[in-house]
Amino acid sequence: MYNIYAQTKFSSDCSYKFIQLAPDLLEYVESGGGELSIKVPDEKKHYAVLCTENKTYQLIQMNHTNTVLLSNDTSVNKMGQNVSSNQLSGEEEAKIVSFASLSYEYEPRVTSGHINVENLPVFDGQKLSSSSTNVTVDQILDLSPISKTEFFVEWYDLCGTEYKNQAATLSGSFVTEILSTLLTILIAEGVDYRQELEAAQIIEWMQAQNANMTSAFIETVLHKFGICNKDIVTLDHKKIPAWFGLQALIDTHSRILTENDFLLSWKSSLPAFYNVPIDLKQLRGNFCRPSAQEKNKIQHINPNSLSVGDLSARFKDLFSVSKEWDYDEFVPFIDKYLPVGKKPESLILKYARKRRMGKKIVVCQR
Amino acid sequence: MPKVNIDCSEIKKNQSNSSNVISTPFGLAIIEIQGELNIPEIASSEENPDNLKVDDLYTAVKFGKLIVDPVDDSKVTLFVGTSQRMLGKIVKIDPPLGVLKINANDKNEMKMIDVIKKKIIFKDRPLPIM
Repeated sequence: MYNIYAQTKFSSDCSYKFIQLAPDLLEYVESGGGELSIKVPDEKKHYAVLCTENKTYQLIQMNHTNTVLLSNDTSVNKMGQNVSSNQLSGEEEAKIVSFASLSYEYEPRVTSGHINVENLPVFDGQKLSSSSTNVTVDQILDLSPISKTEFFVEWYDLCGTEYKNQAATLSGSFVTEILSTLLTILIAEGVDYRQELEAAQIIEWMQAQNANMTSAFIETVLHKFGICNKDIVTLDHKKIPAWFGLQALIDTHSRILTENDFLLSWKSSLPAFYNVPIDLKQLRGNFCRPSAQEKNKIQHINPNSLSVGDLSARFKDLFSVSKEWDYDEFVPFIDKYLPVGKKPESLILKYARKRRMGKKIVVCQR
Repeated sequence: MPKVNIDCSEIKKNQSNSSNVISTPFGLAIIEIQGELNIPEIASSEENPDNLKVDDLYTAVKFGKLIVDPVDDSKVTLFVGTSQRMLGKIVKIDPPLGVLKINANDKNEMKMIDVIKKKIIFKDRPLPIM
């Protein structure tokens, strides 16, 4: 038998919260797997997150109306509660003392995390652009609602680097310059660029060619365009031509040109003797076909210039540049915004119309 | 407060199997009552023999006696005062709950002190004691 007590006032020195521990989190916590932290970003549009070493969870507050009392069994009492009874004598009974009442618990939901690089200075190969933000990479990691492992994948993908102990991003043209130098050197050295490569050797060759290319810059490019395992790098020969293609597309300054003309300028932007297949499919999500009559003409669209958040507005933006879209070319513009577990069809049927034209499926306005 | 590390060192220490059906090896238990439990904000009398003093700072009032069914230890009865009893159960919490302790004076000090996998829940209305 236990006597149940509740404190009339709860401690003001500390507060208690419940957090749901799904099997993966429970295992992580019980095994002492590594760092566990809560990050509260300054930007209001982002939620507080729980981060393990390699996963990010959005913290959702689940309120309830039940009375939930967190209690201490004084017969175990590893909390070290000092309990004294007013009873003068009598046998010592087991006591459970409620010391906190909780009206909600946190539910961690897996999320992809986020890094805000908008205010960071950009290094263009010569100098840093002016910026009010002067932080180190470690500070960016602490400020970003994302786990450590995911951070570095995302960071390099955003061309994040460090210059004179300051976090910065590399400009697109400078990334292209580093990539061109890298591939040219590999070809000149007679190295098979499809094989595993030694990062240290690459850095040495590149710095001998251009002293402005610091090892941090080169590492950013190697991580962005390759799989790095300690000192060994395997370059991704789908990502690299896609990058050159995107830069060629940006360089058109939204001019409308035929597929063939564009493919020619794309091919010529690749370093000499770098022979990899190129296909317009690699650039889906970055171009449209503005004319329904001349389907072989394309035009660059910056996906970041489209409305974010309001999907109806995003669909409107897309139909303002082209009234009819090939289904496969339309989906990459919206798949980032798909609710979890939903297929692109569900959004297309909600905001647009799908038609079959021969073998092709076309997306058009309602 | 951009980032706060959670100290989970206590969790690994307290993973022993305990025969205690009410609380965790650390000694924590959750009592859940559907509805509101009115606990007096001020104890009736500091000298009341039913009251406890916690850490010499707080008064805890007794609101019931809990008895675990000797045959089925997942069933419990809570006797409130002399006229009411509540039938409850000890149920598994899915998913388990981590208990975070946050220092009110230093929000950067956060500890996960325990993981609770069972709770005592009272879902039904109180019954009279016959």
